Amino acid sequence: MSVIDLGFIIQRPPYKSETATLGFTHAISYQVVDILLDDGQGVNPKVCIVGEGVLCCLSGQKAMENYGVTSLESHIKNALLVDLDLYVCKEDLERFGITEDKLIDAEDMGADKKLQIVPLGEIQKILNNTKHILAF
Amino acid sequence: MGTLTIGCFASLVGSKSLDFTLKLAKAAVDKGHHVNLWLSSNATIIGKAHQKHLKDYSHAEKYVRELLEKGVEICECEACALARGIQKTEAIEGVQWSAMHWYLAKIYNSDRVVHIGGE
Amino acid sequence: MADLRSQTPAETLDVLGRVCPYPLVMTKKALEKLSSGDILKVMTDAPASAEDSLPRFAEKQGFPIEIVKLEDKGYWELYIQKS
Repeated sequence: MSVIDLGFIIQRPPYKSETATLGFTHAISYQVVDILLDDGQGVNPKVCIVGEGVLCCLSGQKAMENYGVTSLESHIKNALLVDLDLYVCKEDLERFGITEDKLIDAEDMGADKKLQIVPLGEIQKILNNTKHILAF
Repeated sequence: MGTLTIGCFASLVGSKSLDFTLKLAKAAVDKGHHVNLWLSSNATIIGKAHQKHLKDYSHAEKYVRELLEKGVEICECEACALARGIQKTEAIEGVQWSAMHWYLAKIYNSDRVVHIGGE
Repeated sequence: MADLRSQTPAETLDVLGRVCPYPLVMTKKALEKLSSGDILKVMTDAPASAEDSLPRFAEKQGFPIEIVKLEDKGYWELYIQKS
């Protein structure tokens, strides 16, 4: 076995608790897990953003100005920059009335990846194919 | 026998999930499994020594020490601990301090993972 | 081992106030942009990064590293040479 897929479920809203932040930073740490594993081994996070977690994906956050902490937006941009797969539930975006143009984009930072809007059924399939699931 | 990794983000005297975590870890290690326990967010408090055992509320230090004696690997998030003013010198002897990649690395080599979230 | 600290770094990375995973993630990104032989100076105040993850990473990559703890300033300076 070389690289395993690890499911992450982000379901909490931003700035009520820091659970969502912890979810994203844990996922980003896949970049450095190899220092504790043998050569060729690794972890590939599949981050699924559902429920109130989709609120984390709104652009224009001003957490540093208002709370003095790094925003979820910044963490999500960093996640995209390090090529993480971030899947956002289509039905939950619709439920909150969030359109694609309001979502975070990290193209200006040089990220190749974008937030991927997928139906819940697709998220279920993605999680079904992971070895373990961490629900934050 | 297998390897179980538990990640706990719940708080002491705030959530019974933390108590459940410690009971689960003990049950698994008593059955002969190898157990890794990652403490992050508010759970980092239980890695601090000199907790007062109060009958009316949850308490953890005694159980943490028992788990360490049984060979459970317990590691807490340095960032979460420092943010709460907990210094490494105050840690229960045997509790490791590292960062989140420790959790992912243990997950990699585990048969089962239980993630017990925080707030 | 060459005295890395006495040489001029090609790049300085300030990750003071940042904690895992960012010190190492940002260090890796910074090193990707450097040429072989270049030195990256990293400033960090996260003990786990300075004393564990960054040295482990450098060792695994075969990059020479020098770690200086600045007690009076409360942070570390790490000099990593890309090879």
